[in-house]
Amino acid sequence: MNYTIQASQRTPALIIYLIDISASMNMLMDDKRRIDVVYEALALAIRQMVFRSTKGNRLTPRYRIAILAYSDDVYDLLNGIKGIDEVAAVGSLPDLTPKRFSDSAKAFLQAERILQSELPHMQDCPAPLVCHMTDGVATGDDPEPIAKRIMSMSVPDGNVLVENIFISDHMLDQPILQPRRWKGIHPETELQDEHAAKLRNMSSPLPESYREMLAEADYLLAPGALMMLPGSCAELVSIGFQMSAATPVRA
Amino acid sequence: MKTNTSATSDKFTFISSQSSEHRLSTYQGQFACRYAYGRAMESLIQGEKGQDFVGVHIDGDTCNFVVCDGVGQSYQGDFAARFLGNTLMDWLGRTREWSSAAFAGFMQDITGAASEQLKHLTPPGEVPALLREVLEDKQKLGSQTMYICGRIELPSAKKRQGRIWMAWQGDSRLRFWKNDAEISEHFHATMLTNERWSTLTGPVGGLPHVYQTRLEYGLPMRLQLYTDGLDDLDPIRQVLPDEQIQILLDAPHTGGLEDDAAFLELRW
Repeated sequence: MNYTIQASQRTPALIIYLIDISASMNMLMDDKRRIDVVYEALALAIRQMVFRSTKGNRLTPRYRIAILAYSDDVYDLLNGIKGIDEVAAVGSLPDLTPKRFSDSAKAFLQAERILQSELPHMQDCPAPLVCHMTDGVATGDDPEPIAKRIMSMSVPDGNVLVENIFISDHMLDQPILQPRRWKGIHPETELQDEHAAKLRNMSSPLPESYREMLAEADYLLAPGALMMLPGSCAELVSIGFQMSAATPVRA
Repeated sequence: MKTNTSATSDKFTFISSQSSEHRLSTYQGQFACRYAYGRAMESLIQGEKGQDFVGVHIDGDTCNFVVCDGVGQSYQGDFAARFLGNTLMDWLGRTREWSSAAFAGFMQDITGAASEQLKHLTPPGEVPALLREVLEDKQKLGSQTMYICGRIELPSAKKRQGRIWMAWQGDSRLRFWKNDAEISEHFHATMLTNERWSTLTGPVGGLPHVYQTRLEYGLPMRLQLYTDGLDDLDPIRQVLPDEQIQILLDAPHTGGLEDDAAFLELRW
């Protein structure tokens, strides 16, 4: 239970992305639509997985991913779980087109079903991770109980990890001026937003192995930080997606 | 690269091939030398090169050795391991007096030749565009390998003191026994995963670690070096019989090796 199993072809990591595509994702951040910032950050995370999965000239499927976009419904953008080699072969990610509402409970429910089906076959694999990206209050049922159920699911490597990236300018009392020197959100961090506090309850502690991988990329999150990022700028959104792919892999 | 094994009148050389396995073998002269090489099952199935390297050259009472573990996430880690392994074997064969500064300088100086060769190893054209872009990015960052190298000059009845000199960067295992007592703790803090040698920049993560000591006549010693593919050996302190080491190399419990493995053991 220490999140140290390395992602390999035989023991691939599973990452499920839950992407909010509600109408507010059309709003601007750093002169770009939020949805475009997210798209670029997700594409960068996939590139990072490809980087970590090459040996010689070959891409070994060390990662398996699912991408569920949600508004009032859930859209399975990859049509199931796909190996990173299959994703790379396609070349580009499916479009993320903003729609109306933001029913994150439905997305967490679908992630839970995927995990129920996958976990029995993942006993030697790294603990799976669910990476949730949203920019506002959920409009459907409360997602927290489902997220808690997901966080209580486990494989020998550890409990399933849940990470939240919350695109908001009002979550912390002070702006983060140097993302690379930022210590992260901790259980005692004061949050200005009720929804942010809910998302914190749905966020796993950052495993030490992930923290070390991020430190190698010069992101200095402190021990005890939670897997929660305030997406107040493109770089922080990007750190959030890089965190999702920080599963240990063999050097 | 082909396997090169030769032995005549207490001269012996073994250079691993990255394209095939080498079962555990023994050479017995003034040194008792056991050596082996295995590829990860993934590489074996795909017919790919291993990314480790082991080389040893014994000439009577002297022995030069190199173990490398190419960094899989760097560009063509097999290249860095092979280039550095062969280059260090050559350097050990023609160098008699060492200093830490001279060695660090040498490790820097060889980056030009390494980068020039690596430039010609371009990514294949038929791979998906995203993979090709990533491989091109990696090529710009260079090829990397961890390594341990050294030279032993045995003491004799006439020359009562010999010496051992070793240098390393990375987390390959370096284990040393003096009269059956393991004294490897001395090295543990310096076997670091983030240290290696790069074709682009030379030593990465700091300067090479260097160890030198005298060897006393009549004191039995054992030096064991292996890459992390054989990490099942880590908790084992006693001398394992050949067949048990071979079982670890065959790794039937995991359906073959999960990572490439290079093994070298010297006793005197």
